[in-house]
Amino acid sequence: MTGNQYRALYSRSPDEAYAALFSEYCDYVYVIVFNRLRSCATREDAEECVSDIFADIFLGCGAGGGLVGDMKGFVGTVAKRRAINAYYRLSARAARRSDGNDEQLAAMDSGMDIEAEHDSEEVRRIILDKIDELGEPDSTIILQKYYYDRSSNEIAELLSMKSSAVRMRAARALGRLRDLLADVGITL
Amino acid sequence: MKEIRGFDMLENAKDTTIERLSGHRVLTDREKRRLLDMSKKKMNDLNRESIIEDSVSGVEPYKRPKWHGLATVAASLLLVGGIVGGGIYLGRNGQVPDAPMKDVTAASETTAATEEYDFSAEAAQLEADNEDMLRNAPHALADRMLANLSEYDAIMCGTGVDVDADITENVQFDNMSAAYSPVTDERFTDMDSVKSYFYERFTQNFLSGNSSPWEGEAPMFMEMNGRLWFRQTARGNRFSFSGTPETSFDADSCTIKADNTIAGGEKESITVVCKNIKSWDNTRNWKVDSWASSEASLIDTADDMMMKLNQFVNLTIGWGVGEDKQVKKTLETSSGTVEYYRCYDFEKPEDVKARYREYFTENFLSSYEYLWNEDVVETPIFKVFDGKLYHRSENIDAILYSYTQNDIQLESYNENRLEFTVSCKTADGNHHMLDIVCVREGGDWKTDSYSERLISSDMLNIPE
Repeated sequence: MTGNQYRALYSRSPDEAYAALFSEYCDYVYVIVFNRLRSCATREDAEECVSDIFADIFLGCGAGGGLVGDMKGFVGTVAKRRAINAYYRLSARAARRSDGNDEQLAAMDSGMDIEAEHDSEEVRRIILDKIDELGEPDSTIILQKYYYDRSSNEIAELLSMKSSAVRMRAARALGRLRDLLADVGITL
Repeated sequence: MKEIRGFDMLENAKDTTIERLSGHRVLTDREKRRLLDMSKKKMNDLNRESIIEDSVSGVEPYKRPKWHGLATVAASLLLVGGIVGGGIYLGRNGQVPDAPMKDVTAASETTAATEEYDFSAEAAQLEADNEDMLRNAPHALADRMLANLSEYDAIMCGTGVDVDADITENVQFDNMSAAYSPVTDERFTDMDSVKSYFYERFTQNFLSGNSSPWEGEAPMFMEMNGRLWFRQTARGNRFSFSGTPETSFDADSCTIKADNTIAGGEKESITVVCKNIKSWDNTRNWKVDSWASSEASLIDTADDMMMKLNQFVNLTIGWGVGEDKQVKKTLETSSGTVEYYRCYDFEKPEDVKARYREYFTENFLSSYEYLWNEDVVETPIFKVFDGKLYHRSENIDAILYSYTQNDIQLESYNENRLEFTVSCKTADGNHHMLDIVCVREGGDWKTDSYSERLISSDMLNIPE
C-alpha cells in the first residue's frame, strides 16, 4: 500500500483506511512480533504488542500527509522497534521471576556473533525452502502447528478444513519435512 | 509457547526470513478483526491522552524569569572552576585517593546498569505498585471485578442498557426471532464502542464465542440500518452478590470467592478468576477471566439436569405424558397397528420441543426428531390427526435412573461447561454409569449430550 492510496482512503473514511492498512500488513507485523517474542511471551503478549504497533502506526500516519511511496518500510520499522522493546521488557520480567537468573539477563544483551548469525540464516533459508517444497496447505499447517504452536482446530479455521484432516496432514507433512531435511544433512 | 526443536531456528531472524514467513497465512479472519478492534481502541486512548496533555500544557504558558539565565551562567562558572581546581589539586598530589575513586566507579556502573535495564526497572516498579495496591485494597479490586461481572450479567439478561423502548424491530434468525430496540445509552454508540467497553473489563478468554454480547444467534447487540440495537428480553439475573468476598492473589491473577443469590432466591458460592493483563507500554488492567459455581452448587445443578434427563428419557418411550385414553386413533402401518391417544399436555409437536428447549440444547434435541417429526419415522411418539395432537407409548416399562447426590461425580467444569458422571440403578437391577455434558447457554445450564454405560446387571448375571 502506498501513501497516496492510504490518503485517498482516509479522505473517504479513516476507518476504511485503518482497515485497509491493517489488512495489508497485519500478517507481516505479527510475523515480526512473534519472531522476536516467541521465546519469552505468551500469545496474548504478542497480540498486545501487535495492537500497540498498529495503534502507533494509525496515530503516526494520521491523515497520511507526508507519506510517500510504499508504507511497508515504515510499518516494518515501527514493528521491529516495538517488538524489540517488548522483548527486553518481557525477558526482564521472566528473568526476575526466575530469581534473577544471570544467564537469562546476560542473554538479553549478548553481542551478535556475525559468523554464527550467517550460518543460522543459511539454515533458516534451507528449512523454509523445504517447508515450501511441501506445498500448500501442508507448508502453512507445519508452520502454524510447530512454529506458531496453533491447535489443529485453529489451523482448521484458518484453512477452512476439518481439524481431523489438519491433524492427519500435519503428521504426514512433518514426516516428509524430516526426510527432506535429512537429505541435506539437517536433523529436525 | 510449545517448543519443537528445529523450528526454534526460525526465531529472531533477518528480514529475508521474515518476508518468507509472512508469505504464509498467519491470522484467522476472526483474529484479524479482534486485533484491529484492539488497535483502534488503543489509538483512541492514546489520542485522548495526547489531547488531555495538550490542553493542560496550553492552560498557563510558562515564562522563564530573566534572572534564571544569569544564575545559570554563574552556577556554570562555579562548576567549571570546581572541576579545573579539582584537577589541579589531583595533579599536584600525584594520585587519586582510594575511597572517592571507588565511589565514582560504582556510581558509573550503576548508571550504566540502570540505562541498560531500564525496561526491567520500570516493569519491576509496576509490579511492586500493583502488589501494593492489592495488599492495601484487595476488597476494592474484588468489588470492582464483581461489579463488572454483575453488569455483564445484567446486559446479557436484557437490562442495563438505555434504549428507545418506543421503537421495536423483530428480527428473524435461523432458529428463532428476537425483538430489538435502538440504543440511546451514551456508553454504546456503535459496535466498536460495545467491544471496547467489554474488552476493557473482560479477557478475550471470557468473551470468546457465545459469551460475548455481540455473538451467537440473536446477540444482545447488533447493528442494523446504521444504528446500534439492543435485544429486548426479560431474564432473571444470574448474579446478586452479598457479603464480603474472599480474595487471594498474586501479581498476575486474583481469585475471588463470593456468595451469590440466583434469581429465584437460590444461594450458591461462586469463584471468579481475574487476570492482570499487562500491555508492555505501562498499561495494566485487571479483567474478569472466568467464573464458576462452587462444586456444591454444581452438584445441585447436575442433580437438576439429571432430573430433567430422567423425564426426557421417559418421554422418548412415551411415558410421563398426559393423555386421554377415551379418545383414540388407530394407525395402520407396514409393521402392524399402532394406537395413539389424545394428548392434553401439548397442543402441537413444536410445543413438546419448546418445553424441553429450556433444559436441553438444540444439538441434543436434534437427535430426537423421531419423537415428533413424521418425516423422520412412520410412527413418531407424537402425531397429529385432524389437527389435534395424539401420543403413543412404547410397550416397555418406564425407565427411572435411581441415584442420590453422592452418586454424582464432577469430572470437569468451567463457567460454560460442566461434565459429570452419575452412578445409578434402574428397576431391573442394572447398574449404569451416565456420562453427561452440560453447557451454559444464555446464562442457563442445558444438557448437550449423555451416554450410558452398563456396569453390572442382575438380570444378565454380569458382576459389579
